[in-house]
Amino acid sequence: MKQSKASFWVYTFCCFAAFAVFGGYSLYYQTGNSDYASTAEEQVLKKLQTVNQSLSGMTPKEDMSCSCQFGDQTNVLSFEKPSDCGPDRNYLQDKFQAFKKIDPKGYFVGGRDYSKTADVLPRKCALYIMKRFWKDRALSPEEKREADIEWNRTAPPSDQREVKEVKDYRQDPRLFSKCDSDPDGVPERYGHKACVTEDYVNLVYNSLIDVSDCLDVPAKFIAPKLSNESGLHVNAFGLVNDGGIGQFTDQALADVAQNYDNFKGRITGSSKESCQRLRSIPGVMPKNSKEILSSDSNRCHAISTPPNPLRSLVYYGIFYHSTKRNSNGAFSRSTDSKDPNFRGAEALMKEAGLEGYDIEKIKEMIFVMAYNSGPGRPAVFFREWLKYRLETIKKYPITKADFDMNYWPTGPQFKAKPGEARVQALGKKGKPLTLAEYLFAYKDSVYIAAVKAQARVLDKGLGAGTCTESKFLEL
Amino acid sequence: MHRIQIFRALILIFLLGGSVAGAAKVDVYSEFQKKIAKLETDLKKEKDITKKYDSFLKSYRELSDLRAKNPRQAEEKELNMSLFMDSLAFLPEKKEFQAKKCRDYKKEVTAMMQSYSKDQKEPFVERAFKVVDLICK
Repeated sequence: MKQSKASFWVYTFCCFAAFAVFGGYSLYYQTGNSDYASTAEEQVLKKLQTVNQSLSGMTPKEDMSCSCQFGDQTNVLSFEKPSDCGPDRNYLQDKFQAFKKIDPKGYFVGGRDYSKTADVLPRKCALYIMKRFWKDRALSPEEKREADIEWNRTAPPSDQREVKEVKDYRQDPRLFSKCDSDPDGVPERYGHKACVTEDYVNLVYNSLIDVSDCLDVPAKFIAPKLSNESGLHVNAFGLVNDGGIGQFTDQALADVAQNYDNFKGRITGSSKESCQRLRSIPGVMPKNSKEILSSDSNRCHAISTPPNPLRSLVYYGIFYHSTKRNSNGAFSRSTDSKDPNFRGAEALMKEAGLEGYDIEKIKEMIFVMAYNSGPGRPAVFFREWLKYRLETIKKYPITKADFDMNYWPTGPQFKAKPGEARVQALGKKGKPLTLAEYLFAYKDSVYIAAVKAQARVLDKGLGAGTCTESKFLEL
Repeated sequence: MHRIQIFRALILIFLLGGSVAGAAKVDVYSEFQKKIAKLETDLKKEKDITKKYDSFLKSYRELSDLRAKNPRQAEEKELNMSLFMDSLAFLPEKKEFQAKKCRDYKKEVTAMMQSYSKDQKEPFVERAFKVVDLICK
């Protein structure tokens, strides 16, 4: 008995010592290859790691692991160096120097202790989104043909590409811009992505984190949306003159202007450090709404740096709140004093037997669509879908699958004209359309599904929940 | 003779039945658009803003009743009609309406119903904006 007690303590001590040496070592030097750190075990390990780090007082090594491939680098993210990018992609370097002059304390252009904001949104999310967005270079038809010829030189016979005539290749769209001639003028379209250097990522990430904190905008909620729209690039320039990191159009900027005077106080009157840092940069905060230039001919206002991406992100914070308020208001409208026949979304949901469904999640979907379609329309589409589904509710009750946004139409379905032709192309054989299908078929919109797809990409590349909210756009 | 009478009666019932069914079947979408056109004409003619608003409220209610009393139409038509109605739902009720606030009403309707993407055209939203313009002009 005595012997067994002694061996128990020896065994316990050995286990403790082994953990202290090997466990502590592996926790401290964890390379972070486990992307899907979601099990209870992993969460305990994470907490131990945090405790260990705070006890040691050392800055933890930033986790840059991913399930991804960029060039010849596999499963690890790294910043580009100006020397890697060539002259056609280094066009923002002098802008960062100019930013440093108006940010002498380096709040935005300098580095920070990124472990402090890793829970809000790890810096690697910004790096991943910026590197992944679109292409580094827009290719001309000639370059595309050359690329195919080059590919065929080394590819096996089974993987050869068809080399076509130059005229049969399409020029890549030019989705970036320059604002060199007038910082408030018309952007000059440009095809190449700015070099994703550490300075560039820091500027974007620091700006995003401070706006998120100052204006209470959940970073993990907006990350998939920004990934879908601008890829977090300060000079992104869409095909409908939507410009900058927030991809603002004239109507969206007009909305910001309409709400600016109400929201301005949240920044100017706040004692938060993040708000103080935002206020310290000239040009970020317009004196009044009239200084917000919304016209297409002034789109550089939301693109040129400095002070963007800060100005554009401050606008985005205001836009987020005003659109959310208006979208939720349109969704929740239950009566119309002028129309006794009006039935609101919640009454229709009740009629469809959806009382147990998470209404906040449904409102979130409608809100995400409102980013693109304006705050009032998506609620109309949702109510119409409910009325349409009520027609066949007995035969086909609504289930959670009706709200599935993991959806993407096929090429032929996209080619069909919106309306009944698309319904035919969807081939449902009389079964009712899901919400995503209905929006695609009748309103030509895949916006919610596109943002959801970005969230899936982020979850796959950097681990579930690393850059996205849990159960984002799903019931 | 008796058989002929029965035969005639059957034909009469058939014809009457057909015409009653025909009368009951309303082309809601077409009627809806006719009513909007009439509203637009009335608003153009009327000078007094309070009377204009009364005219709008009457039409708005008629449009709603037209839809409520008839079966659901094809989806695209229903969506268009709802976009028109919902755009104008942001206008106040009669007792709250003030002519001097017309500019704000217009701003509100536009802010709620205008798309941020220029390529998303909705003719029935545009038509609702036009009605607001005609009321406030």
